[in-house]
Amino acid sequence: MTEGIAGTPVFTAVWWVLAVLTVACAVLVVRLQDLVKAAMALIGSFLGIAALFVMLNAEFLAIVQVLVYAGAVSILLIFGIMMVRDTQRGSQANSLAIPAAMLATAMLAIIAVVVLDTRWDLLGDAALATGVAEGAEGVYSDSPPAIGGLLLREFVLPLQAAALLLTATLVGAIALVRGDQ
Amino acid sequence: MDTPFDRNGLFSGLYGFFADLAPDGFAWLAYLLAGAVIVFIVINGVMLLTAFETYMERRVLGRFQTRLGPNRVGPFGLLQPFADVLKLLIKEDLRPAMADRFTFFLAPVLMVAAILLVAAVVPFGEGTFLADLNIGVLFLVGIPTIATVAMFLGGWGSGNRFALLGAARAVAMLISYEVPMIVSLAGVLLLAGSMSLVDVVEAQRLPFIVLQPLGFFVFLVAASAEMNRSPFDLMEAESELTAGFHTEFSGVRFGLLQLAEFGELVIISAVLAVLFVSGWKNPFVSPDFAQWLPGQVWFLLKLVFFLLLFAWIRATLPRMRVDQVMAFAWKALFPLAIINTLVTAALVVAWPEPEYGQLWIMAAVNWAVAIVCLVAFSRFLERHRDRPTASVQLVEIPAEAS
Repeated sequence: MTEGIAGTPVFTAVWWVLAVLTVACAVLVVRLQDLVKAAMALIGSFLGIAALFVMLNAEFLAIVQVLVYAGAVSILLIFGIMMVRDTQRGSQANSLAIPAAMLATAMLAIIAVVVLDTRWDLLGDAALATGVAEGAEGVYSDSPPAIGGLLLREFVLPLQAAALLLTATLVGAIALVRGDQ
Repeated sequence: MDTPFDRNGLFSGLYGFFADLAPDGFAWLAYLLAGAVIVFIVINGVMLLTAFETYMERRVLGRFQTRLGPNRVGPFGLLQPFADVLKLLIKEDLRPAMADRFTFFLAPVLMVAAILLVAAVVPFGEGTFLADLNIGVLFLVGIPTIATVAMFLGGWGSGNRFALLGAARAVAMLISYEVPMIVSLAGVLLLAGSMSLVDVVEAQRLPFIVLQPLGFFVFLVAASAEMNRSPFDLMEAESELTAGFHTEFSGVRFGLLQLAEFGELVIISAVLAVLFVSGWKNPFVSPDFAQWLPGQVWFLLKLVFFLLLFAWIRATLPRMRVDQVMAFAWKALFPLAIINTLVTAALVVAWPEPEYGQLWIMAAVNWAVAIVCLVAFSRFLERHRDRPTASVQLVEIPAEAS
Protein backbone atom coordinates (compact mmCIF):
# COMPACT_ATOMS: atom_id res chain seq x y z
CA MET A 1 0.00 0.00 0.00
CA THR A 2 2.90 2.36 0.55
CA GLU A 3 4.63 1.98 -2.84
CA GLY A 4 3.61 5.36 -4.21
CA ILE A 5 4.69 7.54 -1.31
CA ALA A 6 7.51 5.71 0.48
CA GLY A 7 10.44 8.03 1.08
CA THR A 8 8.51 11.27 0.56
CA PRO A 9 8.52 13.96 3.28
CA VAL A 10 4.90 13.17 4.19
CA PHE A 11 5.74 9.51 4.68
CA THR A 12 8.65 10.32 6.96
CA ALA A 13 6.57 12.86 8.90
CA VAL A 14 3.74 10.36 9.41
CA TRP A 15 6.25 7.75 10.56
CA TRP A 16 7.67 10.14 13.16
CA VAL A 17 4.24 11.17 14.42
CA LEU A 18 3.21 7.50 14.81
CA ALA A 19 6.49 6.53 16.48
CA VAL A 20 6.31 9.40 18.99
CA LEU A 21 2.63 8.66 19.74
CA THR A 22 3.35 4.96 20.27
CA VAL A 23 6.21 5.61 22.67
CA ALA A 24 4.28 8.36 24.46
CA CYS A 25 1.34 6.02 25.01
CA ALA A 26 3.70 3.33 26.30
CA VAL A 27 5.19 5.80 28.79
CA LEU A 28 1.69 6.83 29.86
CA VAL A 29 0.79 3.19 30.57
CA VAL A 30 3.49 3.13 33.22
CA ARG A 31 3.05 6.65 34.56
CA LEU A 32 -0.75 6.91 34.87
CA GLN A 33 -2.17 6.09 38.30
CA ASP A 34 -5.71 5.38 37.10
CA LEU A 35 -5.72 1.79 35.83
CA VAL A 36 -8.52 2.26 33.28
CA LYS A 37 -6.69 5.24 31.77
CA ALA A 38 -3.51 3.16 31.66
CA ALA A 39 -5.41 0.45 29.76
CA MET A 40 -6.63 3.08 27.29
CA ALA A 41 -3.06 4.27 26.77
CA LEU A 42 -2.06 0.65 26.16
CA ILE A 43 -4.72 0.39 23.43
CA GLY A 44 -3.32 3.57 21.89
CA SER A 45 0.14 2.03 21.92
CA PHE A 46 -1.18 -1.17 20.25
CA LEU A 47 -2.88 0.87 17.52
CA GLY A 48 0.29 2.88 16.95
CA ILE A 49 2.28 -0.34 16.50
CA ALA A 50 -0.37 -1.59 14.04
CA ALA A 51 -0.02 1.64 12.04
CA LEU A 52 3.78 1.24 11.98
CA PHE A 53 3.29 -2.33 10.65
CA VAL A 54 1.18 -0.89 7.82
CA MET A 55 3.97 1.55 6.95
CA LEU A 56 6.34 -1.44 6.76
CA ASN A 57 4.03 -3.17 4.22
CA ALA A 58 3.07 -5.79 6.83
CA GLU A 59 -0.71 -5.34 6.60
CA PHE A 60 -1.45 -8.83 7.87
CA LEU A 61 0.55 -8.31 11.07
CA ALA A 62 -1.13 -4.91 11.47
CA ILE A 63 -4.66 -6.28 11.33
CA VAL A 64 -3.77 -9.19 13.62
CA GLN A 65 -2.36 -6.63 16.05
CA VAL A 66 -5.66 -4.73 15.97
CA LEU A 67 -7.87 -7.85 16.09
CA VAL A 68 -6.02 -9.66 18.86
CA TYR A 69 -4.38 -6.97 20.97
CA ALA A 70 -6.40 -3.77 20.54
CA GLY A 71 -9.68 -5.67 20.21
CA ALA A 72 -9.60 -8.77 22.38
CA VAL A 73 -6.71 -8.59 24.85
CA SER A 74 -7.52 -5.03 25.88
CA ILE A 75 -11.18 -5.91 26.51
CA LEU A 76 -10.13 -8.80 28.76
CA LEU A 77 -7.68 -6.46 30.47
CA ILE A 78 -10.40 -3.88 31.14
CA PHE A 79 -12.74 -6.61 32.42
CA GLY A 80 -9.95 -7.67 34.76
CA ILE A 81 -9.45 -4.10 35.98
CA MET A 82 -13.18 -3.80 36.66
CA MET A 83 -12.86 -6.65 39.16
CA VAL A 84 -10.16 -4.77 41.08
CA ARG A 85 -10.99 -2.24 43.74
CA ASP A 86 -9.30 1.18 43.94
CA THR A 87 -8.69 1.50 40.21
CA GLN A 88 -8.25 5.26 40.63
CA ARG A 89 -5.13 4.98 42.80
CA GLY A 90 -3.49 1.98 41.18
CA SER A 91 -1.15 -0.35 43.00
CA GLN A 92 1.16 0.81 45.76
CA ALA A 93 4.91 1.02 45.27
CA ASN A 94 6.75 -1.98 46.63
CA SER A 95 10.30 -3.26 47.01
CA LEU A 96 10.48 -4.93 43.59
CA ALA A 97 11.77 -1.78 41.84
CA ILE A 98 15.37 -2.98 41.51
CA PRO A 99 14.64 -6.49 40.11
CA ALA A 100 12.10 -4.93 37.75
CA ALA A 101 14.66 -2.41 36.52
CA MET A 102 17.21 -5.19 35.95
CA LEU A 103 14.72 -7.30 34.02
CA ALA A 104 13.63 -4.35 31.90
CA THR A 105 17.26 -3.48 31.09
CA ALA A 106 17.95 -7.09 30.10
CA MET A 107 14.90 -7.09 27.79
CA LEU A 108 16.02 -3.81 26.23
CA ALA A 109 19.51 -5.24 25.69
CA ILE A 110 18.13 -8.36 23.97
CA ILE A 111 15.86 -6.31 21.70
CA ALA A 112 18.73 -3.93 20.88
CA VAL A 113 20.99 -6.85 19.93
CA VAL A 114 18.26 -8.32 17.70
CA VAL A 115 17.60 -4.96 16.03
CA LEU A 116 21.28 -4.30 15.37
CA ASP A 117 21.94 -7.87 14.25
CA THR A 118 19.09 -8.14 11.71
CA ARG A 119 19.61 -7.37 8.03
CA TRP A 120 17.02 -4.74 7.22
CA ASP A 121 18.01 -3.94 3.62
CA LEU A 122 16.35 -7.02 2.12
CA LEU A 123 15.86 -5.31 -1.25
CA GLY A 124 19.06 -3.21 -1.31
CA ASP A 125 21.99 -3.71 -3.71
CA ALA A 126 24.01 -5.64 -1.13
CA ALA A 127 21.12 -8.02 -0.50
CA LEU A 128 20.58 -8.53 -4.23
CA ALA A 129 24.27 -9.42 -4.60
CA THR A 130 24.07 -12.11 -1.92
CA GLY A 131 20.75 -13.56 -3.07
CA VAL A 132 18.79 -12.72 0.08
CA ALA A 133 16.44 -10.53 -1.91
CA GLU A 134 14.91 -13.39 -3.90
CA GLY A 135 13.13 -14.75 -0.85
CA ALA A 136 12.17 -11.29 0.30
CA GLU A 137 10.41 -10.25 -2.92
CA GLY A 138 7.42 -12.51 -2.38
CA VAL A 139 6.98 -11.48 1.22
CA TYR A 140 7.13 -7.79 0.35
CA SER A 141 4.60 -7.80 -2.46
CA ASP A 142 1.82 -9.89 -0.91
CA SER A 143 2.40 -10.95 2.66
CA PRO A 144 -0.79 -12.93 3.65
CA PRO A 145 -0.31 -15.82 1.17
CA ALA A 146 3.41 -15.97 2.04
CA ILE A 147 2.64 -16.13 5.77
CA GLY A 148 -0.13 -18.68 5.20
CA GLY A 149 2.16 -20.89 3.14
CA LEU A 150 4.90 -20.77 5.76
CA LEU A 151 2.49 -21.53 8.62
CA LEU A 152 0.78 -24.48 6.94
CA ARG A 153 3.81 -26.04 5.23
CA GLU A 154 7.15 -25.42 6.94
CA PHE A 155 5.93 -24.53 10.43
CA VAL A 156 2.85 -26.72 10.65
CA LEU A 157 4.15 -28.65 13.68
CA PRO A 158 4.76 -25.54 15.86
CA LEU A 159 1.34 -24.27 14.74
CA GLN A 160 -0.34 -27.50 15.87
CA ALA A 161 1.59 -27.41 19.14
CA ALA A 162 0.41 -23.85 19.77
CA ALA A 163 -3.18 -24.87 18.97
CA LEU A 164 -2.93 -27.80 21.39
CA LEU A 165 -1.54 -25.53 24.11
CA LEU A 166 -4.36 -23.01 23.60
CA THR A 167 -7.01 -25.76 23.71
CA ALA A 168 -5.51 -27.10 26.93
CA THR A 169 -5.57 -23.58 28.38
CA LEU A 170 -9.22 -23.18 27.37
CA VAL A 171 -10.23 -26.48 28.96
CA GLY A 172 -8.24 -25.59 32.08
CA ALA A 173 -9.94 -22.21 32.36
CA ILE A 174 -13.39 -23.81 32.05
CA ALA A 175 -12.46 -26.44 34.66
CA LEU A 176 -11.29 -23.71 37.06
CA VAL A 177 -14.44 -21.62 36.59
CA ARG A 178 -16.88 -24.52 36.92
CA GLY A 179 -15.44 -25.58 40.26
CA ASP A 180 -16.76 -28.92 41.46
CA GLN A 181 -20.15 -28.94 39.74
CA MET B 1 2.40 7.97 -14.99
CA ASP B 2 2.47 4.34 -13.93
CA THR B 3 0.77 4.10 -10.57
CA PRO B 4 0.73 1.01 -8.38
CA PHE B 5 -3.07 1.25 -8.35
CA ASP B 6 -3.86 -0.24 -11.74
CA ARG B 7 -7.16 -1.69 -10.60
CA ASN B 8 -8.29 1.51 -8.90
CA GLY B 9 -9.49 3.56 -11.86
CA LEU B 10 -10.97 6.33 -9.74
CA PHE B 11 -7.77 6.84 -7.79
CA SER B 12 -5.52 6.67 -10.86
CA GLY B 13 -7.69 9.23 -12.65
CA LEU B 14 -7.67 11.68 -9.75
CA TYR B 15 -3.96 11.14 -9.22
CA GLY B 16 -3.23 11.87 -12.87
CA PHE B 17 -5.39 15.02 -12.71
CA PHE B 18 -3.62 16.39 -9.63
CA ALA B 19 -0.17 15.29 -10.78
CA ASP B 20 -0.55 17.45 -13.90
CA LEU B 21 -1.39 20.45 -11.75
CA ALA B 22 1.28 19.93 -9.10
CA PRO B 23 4.77 21.42 -9.56
CA ASP B 24 7.77 19.11 -9.93
CA GLY B 25 8.80 17.25 -6.82
CA PHE B 26 5.35 17.52 -5.28
CA ALA B 27 3.94 14.25 -6.58
CA TRP B 28 3.18 13.24 -3.00
CA LEU B 29 0.83 16.21 -2.78
CA ALA B 30 -1.17 14.87 -5.73
CA TYR B 31 -1.24 11.46 -4.02
CA LEU B 32 -2.55 13.06 -0.85
CA LEU B 33 -5.18 15.17 -2.63
CA ALA B 34 -6.46 12.25 -4.69
CA GLY B 35 -6.82 10.22 -1.50
CA ALA B 36 -8.52 13.12 0.31
CA VAL B 37 -11.11 13.54 -2.47
CA ILE B 38 -12.10 9.86 -2.34
CA VAL B 39 -12.17 9.93 1.46
CA PHE B 40 -14.51 12.95 1.25
CA ILE B 41 -16.81 11.12 -1.18
CA VAL B 42 -16.84 7.90 0.86
CA ILE B 43 -17.51 9.57 4.22
CA ASN B 44 -20.28 11.77 2.87
CA GLY B 45 -21.76 8.88 0.92
CA VAL B 46 -21.91 6.76 4.07
CA MET B 47 -23.39 9.66 6.06
CA LEU B 48 -26.10 10.36 3.47
CA LEU B 49 -26.93 6.67 3.17
CA THR B 50 -27.18 6.48 6.96
CA ALA B 51 -29.59 9.43 7.00
CA PHE B 52 -31.64 7.75 4.27
CA GLU B 53 -31.52 4.48 6.20
CA THR B 54 -33.00 5.99 9.38
CA TYR B 55 -35.83 7.48 7.31
CA MET B 56 -36.45 4.27 5.40
CA GLU B 57 -36.38 2.11 8.51
CA ARG B 58 -38.90 4.30 10.30
CA ARG B 59 -41.23 4.24 7.31
CA VAL B 60 -40.86 0.47 6.84
CA LEU B 61 -41.41 -0.20 10.55
CA GLY B 62 -44.45 2.05 10.34
CA ARG B 63 -45.82 -0.11 7.53
CA PHE B 64 -45.22 -3.27 9.55
CA GLN B 65 -47.01 -1.78 12.55
CA THR B 66 -49.94 -0.36 10.53
CA ARG B 67 -49.06 3.28 11.08
CA LEU B 68 -47.58 5.95 8.87
CA GLY B 69 -44.11 6.79 10.18
CA PRO B 70 -42.53 10.23 9.64
CA ASN B 71 -44.29 12.00 6.74
CA ARG B 72 -44.42 15.69 7.66
CA VAL B 73 -40.95 17.20 7.01
CA GLY B 74 -40.41 17.68 3.28
CA PRO B 75 -41.97 15.52 0.53
CA PHE B 76 -42.98 12.11 1.99
CA GLY B 77 -41.07 13.12 5.15
CA LEU B 78 -37.78 12.75 3.32
CA LEU B 79 -36.13 15.61 5.23
CA GLN B 80 -36.91 14.00 8.60
CA PRO B 81 -33.29 12.81 9.25
CA PHE B 82 -31.96 16.33 8.71
CA ALA B 83 -34.52 17.74 11.12
CA ASP B 84 -33.45 15.10 13.65
CA VAL B 85 -29.79 16.02 13.26
CA LEU B 86 -30.58 19.74 13.74
CA LYS B 87 -32.60 18.91 16.83
CA LEU B 88 -29.74 16.87 18.32
CA LEU B 89 -27.22 19.62 17.53
CA ILE B 90 -29.11 22.36 19.39
CA LYS B 91 -29.97 20.18 22.39
CA GLU B 92 -28.07 20.69 25.61
CA ASP B 93 -24.99 18.49 25.93
CA LEU B 94 -25.18 17.11 29.45
CA ARG B 95 -22.29 15.55 31.29
CA PRO B 96 -23.13 13.70 34.52
CA ALA B 97 -21.20 14.71 37.63
CA MET B 98 -19.91 11.16 38.08
CA ALA B 99 -18.73 10.85 34.47
CA ASP B 100 -15.09 10.55 33.56
CA ARG B 101 -14.49 13.63 31.40
CA PHE B 102 -11.93 12.24 28.92
CA THR B 103 -13.51 8.80 28.42
CA PHE B 104 -16.97 10.30 28.08
CA PHE B 105 -15.70 12.57 25.31
CA LEU B 106 -13.65 9.89 23.55
CA ALA B 107 -16.15 7.02 23.35
CA PRO B 108 -18.62 8.38 20.72
CA VAL B 109 -15.83 9.81 18.56
CA LEU B 110 -13.92 6.51 18.60
CA MET B 111 -17.05 4.55 17.68
CA VAL B 112 -17.86 6.70 14.65
CA ALA B 113 -14.21 6.67 13.55
CA ALA B 114 -14.02 2.86 13.72
CA ILE B 115 -17.23 2.43 11.73
CA LEU B 116 -16.25 4.91 9.01
CA LEU B 117 -12.81 3.30 8.73
CA VAL B 118 -14.41 0.05 7.54
CA ALA B 119 -15.90 1.89 4.53
CA ALA B 120 -12.34 2.44 3.29
CA VAL B 121 -11.99 -1.12 1.96
CA VAL B 122 -15.49 -1.60 0.51
CA PRO B 123 -15.44 -1.56 -3.32
CA PHE B 124 -18.47 0.38 -4.56
CA GLY B 125 -17.97 -0.38 -8.23
CA GLU B 126 -15.39 -1.63 -10.66
CA GLY B 127 -12.30 0.46 -10.00
CA THR B 128 -14.28 2.67 -7.59
CA PHE B 129 -12.92 2.25 -4.10
CA LEU B 130 -10.58 3.90 -1.66
CA ALA B 131 -8.15 1.09 -0.93
CA ASP B 132 -7.74 -2.52 -2.03
CA LEU B 133 -6.00 -4.07 0.96
CA ASN B 134 -4.69 -7.62 0.63
CA ILE B 135 -6.24 -8.22 4.06
CA GLY B 136 -9.60 -6.59 3.22
CA VAL B 137 -11.85 -9.23 4.78
CA LEU B 138 -9.86 -9.31 8.02
CA PHE B 139 -9.88 -5.50 8.06
CA LEU B 140 -13.63 -5.30 8.01
CA VAL B 141 -14.08 -7.74 10.88
CA GLY B 142 -11.04 -6.45 12.80
CA ILE B 143 -11.61 -2.71 12.88
CA PRO B 144 -15.12 -2.84 14.47
CA THR B 145 -13.51 -4.44 17.55
CA ILE B 146 -12.22 -0.93 18.32
CA ALA B 147 -15.87 0.18 18.45
CA THR B 148 -16.42 -2.57 21.04
CA VAL B 149 -13.68 -1.09 23.22
CA ALA B 150 -15.21 2.38 22.74
CA MET B 151 -18.61 1.05 23.78
CA PHE B 152 -17.18 -0.38 26.99
CA LEU B 153 -15.30 2.83 27.76
CA GLY B 154 -18.49 4.82 27.14
CA GLY B 155 -20.44 2.67 29.57
CA TRP B 156 -17.69 2.88 32.17
CA GLY B 157 -17.07 6.60 31.68
CA SER B 158 -20.73 7.48 32.22
CA GLY B 159 -20.43 6.74 35.92
CA ASN B 160 -23.83 5.04 35.87
CA ARG B 161 -24.54 1.46 36.96
CA PHE B 162 -27.10 0.84 34.22
CA ALA B 163 -24.67 2.10 31.60
CA LEU B 164 -21.88 -0.13 32.93
CA LEU B 165 -24.19 -3.17 33.06
CA GLY B 166 -25.37 -2.51 29.51
CA ALA B 167 -21.80 -2.12 28.32
CA ALA B 168 -20.63 -5.33 30.04
CA ARG B 169 -23.55 -7.23 28.51
CA ALA B 170 -22.88 -5.77 25.07
CA VAL B 171 -19.17 -6.54 25.16
CA ALA B 172 -19.71 -10.13 26.31
CA MET B 173 -22.13 -10.62 23.43
CA LEU B 174 -19.95 -8.89 20.84
CA ILE B 175 -16.90 -10.99 21.72
CA SER B 176 -18.96 -14.19 21.48
CA TYR B 177 -20.44 -13.35 18.08
CA GLU B 178 -17.16 -12.19 16.60
CA VAL B 179 -15.95 -15.81 16.53
CA PRO B 180 -18.72 -17.32 14.32
CA MET B 181 -18.68 -14.14 12.21
CA ILE B 182 -15.00 -14.52 11.33
CA VAL B 183 -15.16 -18.31 10.88
CA SER B 184 -18.22 -18.03 8.62
CA LEU B 185 -16.15 -15.93 6.20
CA ALA B 186 -13.55 -18.70 5.85
CA GLY B 187 -15.71 -20.42 3.21
CA VAL B 188 -15.84 -17.24 1.12
CA LEU B 189 -12.07 -16.83 1.42
CA LEU B 190 -11.48 -20.46 0.40
CA LEU B 191 -13.62 -20.05 -2.71
CA ALA B 192 -12.14 -16.67 -3.65
CA GLY B 193 -8.55 -17.61 -2.82
CA SER B 194 -7.82 -14.07 -1.65
CA MET B 195 -8.65 -11.72 1.22
CA SER B 196 -8.85 -8.66 -1.01
CA LEU B 197 -12.48 -7.58 -1.42
CA VAL B 198 -11.95 -6.72 -5.08
CA ASP B 199 -10.66 -10.25 -5.70
CA VAL B 200 -13.64 -11.67 -3.80
CA VAL B 201 -16.07 -9.84 -6.10
CA GLU B 202 -14.17 -10.85 -9.22
CA ALA B 203 -14.09 -14.49 -8.10
CA GLN B 204 -17.91 -14.62 -7.93
CA ARG B 205 -18.91 -16.26 -11.20
CA LEU B 206 -21.91 -17.36 -9.19
CA PRO B 207 -22.91 -15.08 -6.30
CA PHE B 208 -21.46 -16.66 -3.17
CA ILE B 209 -24.89 -16.72 -1.53
CA VAL B 210 -25.67 -19.62 -3.93
CA LEU B 211 -22.42 -21.40 -3.07
CA GLN B 212 -22.36 -20.54 0.64
CA PRO B 213 -25.91 -20.62 2.05
CA LEU B 214 -24.74 -21.75 5.49
CA GLY B 215 -21.92 -19.20 5.61
CA PHE B 216 -24.35 -16.47 4.57
CA PHE B 217 -26.86 -17.46 7.25
CA VAL B 218 -24.23 -17.54 10.02
CA PHE B 219 -22.71 -14.25 8.89
CA LEU B 220 -26.13 -12.57 8.67
CA VAL B 221 -27.10 -13.66 12.19
CA ALA B 222 -23.69 -12.90 13.73
CA ALA B 223 -23.57 -9.51 12.00
CA SER B 224 -26.98 -8.50 13.28
CA ALA B 225 -25.76 -9.46 16.76
CA GLU B 226 -22.60 -7.40 16.20
CA MET B 227 -24.77 -4.42 15.33
CA ASN B 228 -27.00 -4.93 18.39
CA ARG B 229 -29.98 -5.18 16.11
CA SER B 230 -33.18 -6.83 17.15
CA PRO B 231 -33.52 -9.73 18.08
CA PHE B 232 -30.10 -9.26 19.69
CA ASP B 233 -30.66 -5.74 21.04
CA LEU B 234 -30.55 -6.79 24.67
CA MET B 235 -27.71 -4.38 25.49
CA GLU B 236 -30.25 -1.58 25.25
CA ALA B 237 -33.24 -3.52 26.51
CA GLU B 238 -35.40 -0.62 27.66
CA SER B 239 -37.37 -2.75 30.07
CA GLU B 240 -34.26 -3.93 31.91
CA LEU B 241 -31.47 -1.41 31.51
CA THR B 242 -33.08 1.98 30.66
CA ALA B 243 -30.98 2.37 27.50
CA GLY B 244 -27.79 0.38 28.01
CA PHE B 245 -24.39 1.97 27.65
CA HIS B 246 -25.67 5.20 26.09
CA THR B 247 -28.05 6.04 28.94
CA GLU B 248 -26.15 9.19 29.90
CA PHE B 249 -25.30 10.49 26.44
CA SER B 250 -27.28 13.44 25.12
CA GLY B 251 -27.16 16.06 22.38
CA VAL B 252 -24.34 15.79 19.87
CA ARG B 253 -22.76 12.77 21.56
CA PHE B 254 -26.02 10.85 21.39
CA GLY B 255 -26.24 11.82 17.73
CA LEU B 256 -22.76 10.40 17.14
CA LEU B 257 -23.72 7.12 18.83
CA GLN B 258 -26.83 6.87 16.65
CA LEU B 259 -24.68 7.63 13.60
CA ALA B 260 -22.31 4.82 14.60
CA GLU B 261 -25.19 2.39 15.09
CA PHE B 262 -26.98 3.05 11.80
CA GLY B 263 -23.71 3.69 9.94
CA GLU B 264 -22.62 0.19 10.93
CA LEU B 265 -25.89 -1.15 9.51
CA VAL B 266 -25.16 0.56 6.18
CA ILE B 267 -21.57 -0.73 6.13
CA ILE B 268 -22.57 -4.30 7.03
CA SER B 269 -25.18 -4.24 4.27
CA ALA B 270 -22.48 -3.06 1.87
CA VAL B 271 -20.18 -5.85 3.08
CA LEU B 272 -22.94 -8.44 2.61
CA ALA B 273 -23.52 -7.13 -0.90
CA VAL B 274 -19.81 -7.42 -1.70
CA LEU B 275 -19.11 -10.79 -0.10
CA PHE B 276 -22.26 -12.76 -0.90
CA VAL B 277 -24.14 -11.23 -3.85
CA SER B 278 -21.19 -10.28 -6.07
CA GLY B 279 -20.87 -6.56 -5.32
CA TRP B 280 -21.02 -4.42 -8.42
CA LYS B 281 -21.85 -7.27 -10.81
CA ASN B 282 -25.22 -8.15 -12.22
CA PRO B 283 -26.13 -11.26 -10.18
CA PHE B 284 -28.68 -12.70 -12.65
CA VAL B 285 -26.95 -13.29 -15.98
CA SER B 286 -23.82 -15.17 -14.96
CA PRO B 287 -21.37 -16.09 -16.31
CA ASP B 288 -21.14 -13.58 -19.16
CA PHE B 289 -22.15 -10.59 -17.04
CA ALA B 290 -24.03 -8.31 -19.33
CA GLN B 291 -24.29 -5.46 -16.89
CA TRP B 292 -27.56 -3.67 -17.94
CA LEU B 293 -26.88 -1.07 -15.26
CA PRO B 294 -23.68 0.67 -14.07
CA GLY B 295 -21.91 -1.35 -11.37
CA GLN B 296 -22.42 1.34 -8.74
CA VAL B 297 -26.20 1.15 -9.27
CA TRP B 298 -26.17 -2.64 -8.84
CA PHE B 299 -24.18 -2.17 -5.65
CA LEU B 300 -26.64 0.39 -4.28
CA LEU B 301 -29.63 -1.82 -5.15
CA LYS B 302 -28.11 -4.75 -3.27
CA LEU B 303 -27.25 -2.51 -0.32
CA VAL B 304 -30.83 -1.21 -0.09
CA PHE B 305 -32.12 -4.78 -0.37
CA PHE B 306 -30.11 -5.76 2.71
CA LEU B 307 -31.24 -2.63 4.58
CA LEU B 308 -34.85 -3.69 3.91
CA LEU B 309 -34.06 -7.24 5.01
CA PHE B 310 -32.67 -5.97 8.33
CA ALA B 311 -35.73 -3.73 8.85
CA TRP B 312 -37.95 -6.74 8.16
CA ILE B 313 -36.06 -8.88 10.69
CA ARG B 314 -36.31 -6.09 13.27
CA ALA B 315 -40.05 -5.75 12.76
CA THR B 316 -40.66 -9.50 12.96
CA LEU B 317 -38.59 -11.11 15.72
CA PRO B 318 -38.93 -10.51 19.48
CA ARG B 319 -35.90 -9.87 21.66
CA MET B 320 -33.96 -12.90 22.94
CA ARG B 321 -33.13 -13.56 26.58
CA VAL B 322 -29.53 -12.91 27.60
CA ASP B 323 -28.63 -16.55 28.36
CA GLN B 324 -30.30 -17.71 25.13
CA VAL B 325 -28.18 -15.29 23.14
CA MET B 326 -24.89 -16.57 24.51
CA ALA B 327 -25.94 -20.23 24.16
CA PHE B 328 -27.01 -19.60 20.57
CA ALA B 329 -23.60 -18.19 19.62
CA TRP B 330 -21.61 -21.10 21.02
CA LYS B 331 -23.99 -24.06 20.56
CA ALA B 332 -25.42 -23.23 17.14
CA LEU B 333 -23.58 -20.59 15.13
CA PHE B 334 -20.02 -21.62 15.93
CA PRO B 335 -20.43 -25.35 15.03
CA LEU B 336 -22.40 -24.37 11.90
CA ALA B 337 -19.58 -22.06 10.80
CA ILE B 338 -17.01 -24.82 11.40
CA ILE B 339 -19.08 -27.36 9.40
CA ASN B 340 -19.40 -24.84 6.57
CA THR B 341 -15.64 -24.28 6.51
CA LEU B 342 -14.86 -28.01 6.46
CA VAL B 343 -17.37 -28.79 3.68
CA THR B 344 -16.18 -25.87 1.57
CA ALA B 345 -12.54 -26.84 2.07
CA ALA B 346 -13.31 -30.41 0.94
CA LEU B 347 -15.11 -29.10 -2.15
CA VAL B 348 -12.25 -26.73 -2.99
CA VAL B 349 -9.79 -29.61 -2.69
CA ALA B 350 -12.02 -31.74 -4.96
CA TRP B 351 -12.33 -29.02 -7.64
CA PRO B 352 -9.46 -26.53 -7.30
CA GLU B 353 -10.33 -24.87 -10.65
CA PRO B 354 -14.09 -25.48 -10.98
CA GLU B 355 -15.85 -25.08 -14.31
CA TYR B 356 -19.22 -23.38 -14.40
CA GLY B 357 -21.14 -26.67 -14.22
CA GLN B 358 -19.02 -27.91 -11.32
CA LEU B 359 -19.86 -24.70 -9.43
CA TRP B 360 -23.50 -25.77 -9.50
CA ILE B 361 -22.54 -29.20 -8.08
CA MET B 362 -20.69 -27.43 -5.27
CA ALA B 363 -23.74 -25.24 -4.68
CA ALA B 364 -26.02 -28.31 -4.53
CA VAL B 365 -23.76 -30.04 -1.99
CA ASN B 366 -23.57 -26.89 0.12
CA TRP B 367 -27.35 -26.39 0.06
CA ALA B 368 -27.92 -30.02 1.09
CA VAL B 369 -25.46 -29.66 3.96
CA ALA B 370 -26.99 -26.32 4.98
CA ILE B 371 -30.56 -27.64 5.09
CA VAL B 372 -29.61 -30.84 6.95
CA CYS B 373 -27.52 -28.88 9.48
CA LEU B 374 -30.12 -26.17 10.08
CA VAL B 375 -32.90 -28.73 10.64
CA ALA B 376 -30.70 -30.90 12.87
CA PHE B 377 -29.51 -27.96 14.97
CA SER B 378 -32.97 -26.48 15.41
CA ARG B 379 -34.27 -29.90 16.53
CA PHE B 380 -31.32 -30.29 18.91
CA LEU B 381 -31.65 -26.80 20.41
CA GLU B 382 -35.41 -27.20 20.77
CA ARG B 383 -34.93 -30.44 22.72
CA HIS B 384 -32.17 -29.12 24.99
CA ARG B 385 -33.67 -25.69 25.52
CA ASP B 386 -32.67 -23.97 28.74
CA ARG B 387 -35.98 -23.35 30.42
CA PRO B 388 -36.07 -20.54 32.96
CA THR B 389 -35.85 -22.12 36.41
CA ALA B 390 -36.25 -20.64 39.85
CA SER B 391 -32.86 -19.37 40.98
CA VAL B 392 -33.62 -20.08 44.66
CA GLN B 393 -31.58 -23.03 45.90
CA LEU B 394 -32.90 -25.01 48.79
CA VAL B 395 -30.25 -25.42 51.46
CA GLU B 396 -30.58 -28.32 53.81
CA ILE B 397 -30.11 -27.23 57.38
CA PRO B 398 -28.20 -29.80 59.45
CA ALA B 399 -30.28 -31.38 62.19
CA GLU B 400 -28.09 -30.31 65.10
CA ALA B 401 -28.10 -26.67 64.03
CA SER B 402 -31.89 -26.28 64.21
